Amino acid sequence: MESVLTLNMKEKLNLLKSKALQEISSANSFEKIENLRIRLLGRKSGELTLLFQGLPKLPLQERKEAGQLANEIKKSLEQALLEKENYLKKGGGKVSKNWLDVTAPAILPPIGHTHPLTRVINEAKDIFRYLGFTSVDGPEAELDEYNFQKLLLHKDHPARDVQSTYYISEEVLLRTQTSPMQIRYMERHKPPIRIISPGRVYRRDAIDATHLPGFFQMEGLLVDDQTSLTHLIGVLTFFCKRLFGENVKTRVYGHHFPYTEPSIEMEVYHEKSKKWLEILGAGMVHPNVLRNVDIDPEVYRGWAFGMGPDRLAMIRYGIDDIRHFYNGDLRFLEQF
Amino acid sequence: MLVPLSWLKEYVDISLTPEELAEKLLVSGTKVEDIRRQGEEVVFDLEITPNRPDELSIVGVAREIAAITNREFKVTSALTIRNVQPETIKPIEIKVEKPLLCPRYAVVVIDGVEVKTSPEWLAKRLERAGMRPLYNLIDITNYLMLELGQPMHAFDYDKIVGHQMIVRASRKGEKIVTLDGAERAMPEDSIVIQDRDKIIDLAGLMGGENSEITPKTKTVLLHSPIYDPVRIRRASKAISLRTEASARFEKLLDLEAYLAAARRGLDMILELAGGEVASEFINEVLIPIEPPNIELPLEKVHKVLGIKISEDQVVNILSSLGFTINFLPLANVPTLNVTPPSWRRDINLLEDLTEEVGRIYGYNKFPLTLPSGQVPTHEDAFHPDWERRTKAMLKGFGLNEVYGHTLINQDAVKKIKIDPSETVKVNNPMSSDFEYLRPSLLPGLLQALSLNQRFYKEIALFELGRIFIPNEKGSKLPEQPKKLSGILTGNKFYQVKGLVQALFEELNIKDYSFEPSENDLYLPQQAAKILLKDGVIGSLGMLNQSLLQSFDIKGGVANFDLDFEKIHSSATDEVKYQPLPKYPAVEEDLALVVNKDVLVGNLIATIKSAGGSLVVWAQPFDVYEDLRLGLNKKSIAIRIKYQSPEKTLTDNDVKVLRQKILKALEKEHEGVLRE
Repeated sequence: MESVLTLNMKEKLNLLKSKALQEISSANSFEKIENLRIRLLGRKSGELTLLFQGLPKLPLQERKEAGQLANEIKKSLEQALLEKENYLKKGGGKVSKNWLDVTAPAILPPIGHTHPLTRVINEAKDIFRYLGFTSVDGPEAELDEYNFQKLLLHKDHPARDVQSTYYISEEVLLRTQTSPMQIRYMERHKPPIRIISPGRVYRRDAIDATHLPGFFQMEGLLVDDQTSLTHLIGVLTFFCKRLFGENVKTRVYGHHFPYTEPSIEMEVYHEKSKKWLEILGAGMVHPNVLRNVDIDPEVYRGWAFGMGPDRLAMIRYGIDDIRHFYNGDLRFLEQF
Repeated sequence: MLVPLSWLKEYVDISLTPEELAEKLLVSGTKVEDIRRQGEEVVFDLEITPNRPDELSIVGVAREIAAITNREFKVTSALTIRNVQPETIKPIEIKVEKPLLCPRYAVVVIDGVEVKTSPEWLAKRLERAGMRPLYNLIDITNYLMLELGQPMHAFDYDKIVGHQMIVRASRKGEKIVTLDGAERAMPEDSIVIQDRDKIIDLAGLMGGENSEITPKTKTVLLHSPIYDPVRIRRASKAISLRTEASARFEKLLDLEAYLAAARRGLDMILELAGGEVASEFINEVLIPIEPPNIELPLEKVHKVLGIKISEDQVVNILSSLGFTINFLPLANVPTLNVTPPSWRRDINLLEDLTEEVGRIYGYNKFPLTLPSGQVPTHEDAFHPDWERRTKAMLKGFGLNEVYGHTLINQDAVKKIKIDPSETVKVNNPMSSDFEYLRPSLLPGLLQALSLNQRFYKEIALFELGRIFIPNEKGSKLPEQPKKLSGILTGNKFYQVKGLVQALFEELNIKDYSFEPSENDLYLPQQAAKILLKDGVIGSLGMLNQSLLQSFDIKGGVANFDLDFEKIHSSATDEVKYQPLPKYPAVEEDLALVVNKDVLVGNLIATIKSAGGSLVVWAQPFDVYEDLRLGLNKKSIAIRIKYQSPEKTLTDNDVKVLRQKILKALEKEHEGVLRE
């Protein structure tokens, strides 16, 4: 004790600090921490508090230095007490019976996947639904009359070459486009009409990375008494921006389809390949098509478009081979 | 269509780079598929749409370029027609049996020609445009077809017996050996040309070998016809012969170019093969065809395009394309009277003219607007998307969506035990792998499963799509209902059953039940049919091993197959709220001993019908077999929940109910309480 009495203030403070930190470190309950806090820092008789009280008696220079040190020690003790307290709150380093290793692998529910074509079609449906379009569906084995003739492609029309066709009988074929659904819908509904018709179509083409005997198509149709080509181009551009992003570049150019007049095609710029890719054909519905379904072309105008979800998905997800869509390979499907 | 730039430049000044020109052509509707550089030459590969046969020519493309680049189209001396007088007369008799077969026909005979190879400039041009040079006479007809879009043919005059050219419809069974040495049987009612004795030309498709030009030819007959395009097309399709000539003849050709081509042909023959004119210049106009006068109210153009293009601009655009325009000063609204040029026979309606205005004006300059008309309110606009909900549900259950091919091969049909003659097939398959319209979703699913077995142990797949069944009700179209089918590897019968029930729950489909069923596709005693209000809407079960083996699949596979049309029509979002129970439920367990083959579903049904609405729930929770129960007996423990909406059930109430139930169980299933 005598030796302690002979220590100067700075030495006393340092001794207190090292002793206190040791005690805090070995305290293993909230109660002990609280007791230590009172013993060391208590307002009236805490050990450090008492040392503080001795400060004014010191000579000026020593008082200044010791005062600074005392404050630092106070802070570090408070900090040590708090940390210990938090440590105890978190279990004090003990592994409890109910301890969970949160980094261990989860028990997954069964996880299925939606086909990328379904995803693209659903996105397209949502975009068009926002614009008031209803999705409709119809037969894939279709009458020649609906697939071609009512769309102004009579039996000997040269444009039939563009859509090489699988026939089931003289009159029945596998639809080459979903346009017959437009005819069927217009026969049964009065304008205003806004529909899209996604579904399978068939072309008798040689099979390769971008051609299969069957694939998907999505067509759209709007008929009312005030629409125009600017609406058509506006809607298609809106669609491309929603599907491919606000900054997608599109361009429109003249084309020819027997059932639309004027006819156009649209391309989007594919950044990756630095190429313009044709994604859809469209146009103002030919007045004779409207006449074929008893809609008066003097009163109503319409426009229609057709695009390929396969193509859209290939661009959207960077897929290089159309055959992936139809062989059911889970290594492919699980990516969606 | 291959178009060399140097050739175009004879008809129009071009100062744009090839890429700039390609862009302008594309925007106005002539797609440039490729730009090829061959030394100093640039060759454009153009995709010409079927309505524009005029652009299947250098002159036509040049006219188009003149219009879209605001340049003059140069009418060169090559296009001016001179009069010719025959120097000697070689007899020739022309006869068109039906005017419709050949509404225009120009013929001229040249005597004393020398058949040899063409000069280099001509041969080179042909090659650059994708044609092989042969002899001068033939090269000249090809050259002019490329330049003017009008196919012609040169015959050896001395091989035309009787000097007669008779254009007629073919009769059944007629044959001809064409220039390529092939004997071709012509379909009835296609167009042929015969001399006094024999057919010498398969009109519009290919000349006959018996009248062809050879190095010995001294006198040549040059003809330039416009045929009935429909007959040309039919013949071309019927004998699968498509030539540069037929690709043009099957479309609406320029009503004047045939004449210009013949005159130019004559000039070029005289220049390059020598000889002298040896007949009248015959020009038969068998059917007068007048170009239409189309009234074009400018307001209509504005309405269809959605933008106002000034009268001046409309007039400029149409005149640059060769249209003749008259103003109708007396019309109430500004209206033009427009006549298309001879080479634009695709133009008949004011909509056609509107397209011409729009495409030259430039669609990319159009403002982008959204539809301003009334939004439709047809009832079907508000139907829930059951397909999407179904697919989302199955995905949530861990199934992966696949799309199989709709067209499958015969082998796949047989594997699922369906007689190929009872399916729908296409008449003209490309390959036998894609011939039959799938009568079931199963082959596609099993093929996918088989493929994936190499990489995955547990596999769960589904498809929603149409299948095809011959229609027996006399409709022309086959039946093509949508089906929903899934497969899961492993012995997962009850998981699949649960999945079907959970789907029904989501779609609010009630009153369904499962009944044992035998079906070739499934293992015996491991399959059920699914009923909805007494009608079958599907099946489920463990697939037959031999079926699985035929697809190289190892292990068990559970399957469900549902008629999605019926699901679609039964699904509903209508839910009726039931007030929450006010009085407590009483639960009790009954342990029954029944024969082994008694179906638990039937026991539950009996309990529910005997107990009436007071039985709110009943489920088995334990089944066991023990010889002590008796031979062929089993014990089933069933928990029953009784509850009344009107009062708290007393012990006595429950006792009465229990006795009713036990009595019914005994009567219907010989079930007794376990001792």
